[in-house]
Amino acid sequence: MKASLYTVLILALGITSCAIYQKTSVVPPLEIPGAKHVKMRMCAPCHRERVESFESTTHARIAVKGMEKEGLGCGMCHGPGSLHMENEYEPNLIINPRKNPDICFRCHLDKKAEFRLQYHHPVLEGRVACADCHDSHGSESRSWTLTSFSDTSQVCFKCHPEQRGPFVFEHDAMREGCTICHKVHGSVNDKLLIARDSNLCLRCHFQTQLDSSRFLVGDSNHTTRMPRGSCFSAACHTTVHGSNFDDHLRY
Amino acid sequence: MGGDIAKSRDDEKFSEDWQFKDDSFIGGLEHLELRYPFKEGWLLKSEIKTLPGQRDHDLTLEVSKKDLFYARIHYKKFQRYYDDSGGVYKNFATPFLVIPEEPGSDRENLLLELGLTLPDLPIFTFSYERKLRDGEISSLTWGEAEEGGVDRHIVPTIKDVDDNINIIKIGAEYKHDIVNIEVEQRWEFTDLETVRTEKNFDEGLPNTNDAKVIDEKDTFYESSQTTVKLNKTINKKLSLTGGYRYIKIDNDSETILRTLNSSGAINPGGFRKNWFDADSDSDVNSHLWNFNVLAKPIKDLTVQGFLRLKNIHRDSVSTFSNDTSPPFDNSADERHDITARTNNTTFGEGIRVAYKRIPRIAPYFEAEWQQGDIEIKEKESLSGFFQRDTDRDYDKQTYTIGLGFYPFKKFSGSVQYRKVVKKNEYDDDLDTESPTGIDPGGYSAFIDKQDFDTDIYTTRLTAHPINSITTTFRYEYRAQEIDSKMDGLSRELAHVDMQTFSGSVTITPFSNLFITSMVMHQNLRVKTRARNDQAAPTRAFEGDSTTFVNTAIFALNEKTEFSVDYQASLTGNYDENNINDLGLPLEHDYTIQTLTLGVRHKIRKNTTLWSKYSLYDYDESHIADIDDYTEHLLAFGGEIRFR
Repeated sequence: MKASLYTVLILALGITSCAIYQKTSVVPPLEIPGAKHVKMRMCAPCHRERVESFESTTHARIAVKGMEKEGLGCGMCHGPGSLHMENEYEPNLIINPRKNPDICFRCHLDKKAEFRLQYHHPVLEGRVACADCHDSHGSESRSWTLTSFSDTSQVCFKCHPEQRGPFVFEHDAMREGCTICHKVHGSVNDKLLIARDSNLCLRCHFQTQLDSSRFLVGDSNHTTRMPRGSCFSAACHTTVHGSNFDDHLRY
Repeated sequence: MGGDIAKSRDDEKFSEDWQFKDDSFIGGLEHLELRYPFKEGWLLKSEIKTLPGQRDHDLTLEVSKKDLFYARIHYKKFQRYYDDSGGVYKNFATPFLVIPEEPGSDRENLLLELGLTLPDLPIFTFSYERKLRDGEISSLTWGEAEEGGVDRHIVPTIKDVDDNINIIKIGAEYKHDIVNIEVEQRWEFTDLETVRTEKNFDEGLPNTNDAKVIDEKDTFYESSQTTVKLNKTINKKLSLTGGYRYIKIDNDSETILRTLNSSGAINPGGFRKNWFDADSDSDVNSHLWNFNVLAKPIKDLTVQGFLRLKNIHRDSVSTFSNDTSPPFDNSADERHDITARTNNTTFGEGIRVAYKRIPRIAPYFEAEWQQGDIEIKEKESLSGFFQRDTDRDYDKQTYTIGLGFYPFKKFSGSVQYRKVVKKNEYDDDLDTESPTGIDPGGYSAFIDKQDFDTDIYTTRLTAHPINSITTTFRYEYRAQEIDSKMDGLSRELAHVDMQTFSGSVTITPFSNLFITSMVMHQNLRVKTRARNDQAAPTRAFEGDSTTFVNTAIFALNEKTEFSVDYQASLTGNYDENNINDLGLPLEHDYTIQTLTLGVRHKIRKNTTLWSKYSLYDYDESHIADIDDYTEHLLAFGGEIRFR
């Protein structure tokens, strides 16, 4: 199967290569024909707040002074803006990363590939945008850091309220943030987990074993339970995010 | 857009991977965008996507009048599909599934927003948002399944979900010479219902009469959130922002927990749970203050300072009766009354410095510190149960140093190193739960100290050696060490290591040919000391994944364009995470591939027709290949532009 796919690919590329004498042009994705990068101050008349706050944003870190015309200003994420300035109502003359995450993937290559893993947030399917979680115009694109109004993981709870609580019995791991257990862009493991077995929980809950005949967590013998799945999927600690009734997060 | 699909084998797996149904018509309107300045100062904007057969809709309509108002409606609906194997689950050779039909959930969001934008007056906004989720999510649960003498204690299942979220927001923003003020009031009313079933297959095959545990939860969440932000620009070198947020939450829940035998009657005794009148109530009051400074003391030097103080106080009660013997009429063999209280205070400080005076180089440095204190008191009134007082202190430090550079026109890049250290200490003033006398004993904070130490290295390099070639390389290494110490026991270390290499090459050798290729390789390993313990037959959890994305576009002439796209994602070594057939049947290796061939033909200046053929192929290392699929999609569509 794999070999046949490669054959088709090579054949297709071969056909295209044979016909390259034609003097026509492809418009590559993320390019706006005829447009040039502009200085950031040119964007200010209509987008004053964005321009004024740019220096406090995450992406401003890598914007090198004097290189705006090389695309290291607003054009980093929105493409060359000269034609957009001339006709603001024409929709295809500026790139909107909310609608087209490919502009983000130009630098964040690994994220594009992670969204291709078996379990992923549906960004490439167009149902979630990078901007739903990241505030690229904010002082911190990771809007869940200590300096923002939002708390850790608040951005996740917008779509996952079941895990938000408040619970009578809280799981301390929730205070570390969702990313302590979840690989949030995409994962080989279901539920976007970092690991899909008890190693995930034993990172924090493994304790020195004093008796080789049994495996203790706290004072409870887990010897026969360890091979039966992850601690929560085997219907033991099912309320792993927090419980209202059971202090061991079982129901 | 129109299409047709031929299919083979696992339809549910295909839908989960690609998030559309292969046995439904997938035609419709893929994208309509309108921007119409129909009158001086007036603008009508609309975007529409509607694929009725897939129940996939995304509609936006906005009308605005400059210096007067804007009104926006956004409606989005789509399906989320799941496989019927509970996620990756290494089944028996014969499909052994509890899930009766293709699981999936409907997601629906509606947003209505109105803003008044009168000049020289505050901007007022009002919005109403409604989010719904209804359907089934695939999962794994406790259950017994048997085939050929092999017995497993974990099986696929589904969880029914029915979420209903309503959010109302009103806001005002006033820009004044003295200070800019933003005020927002937000209310949320949420009702979440879930039903989870654990089944026990006594006879080895799923049956409607199997013994089972039913766990139903209904949660009512109400919150009121008030936010005030102030912003003052002193001069070109100094601006200040500050804010306050108050949140009040009332979270009530009801739970029904029943253990039923094969005849549907309550099955009491032992570990079996039969809860009646299970209710909980949590009240939260949260106050947050923050203060930020943005200063430019000298040219091209930006300094930001941050202060943040937050206090969260929570009071919770929950009650339930556990009936352990007939007549199961809530005659309360065990009546549980629980109280819990937390008081969580955190203080954060941060500083960021960026300097852009050096030609072609942009260095930056950031540091954040956080100190926290959490007092936890939990008490169960029933005799013999727990009472705990825990004082948890923590200290977190984050340091980031990085550099953006552009040494010459053909080359740019960035490097960054981030270190995060978090130290947690648990002081258990009181813990009555230690019934067995085993050291360390008791719950919950048998953890005495726990430190998280994380290092993240990131590099990105982009080069344009010649105009027709662009290459980008990115590398990230993330290493985390978790150092835990239980009361009276030794320190234990756990490690999480992840390396990600990714690179892309884009070539336009001729004006009518565009080729781009990308590859990512990722290695992930989670290692705990449990692998050294004979009584805990586990091992380090690790695996590799590699993903390719390749696209070529070729313009035959001004009217006709061909495209080829090949994507593949394959994993390695994940299969090794299964110890044996008896345990941890949770992982396998797989290869997903897609090949798409497309042609676009412009029949008029503003009209383009297109056609594409896609091949989807999935192959996994499962012994019976029951999740594999090969699917074909043939699609036709058109694009019209109006001016």
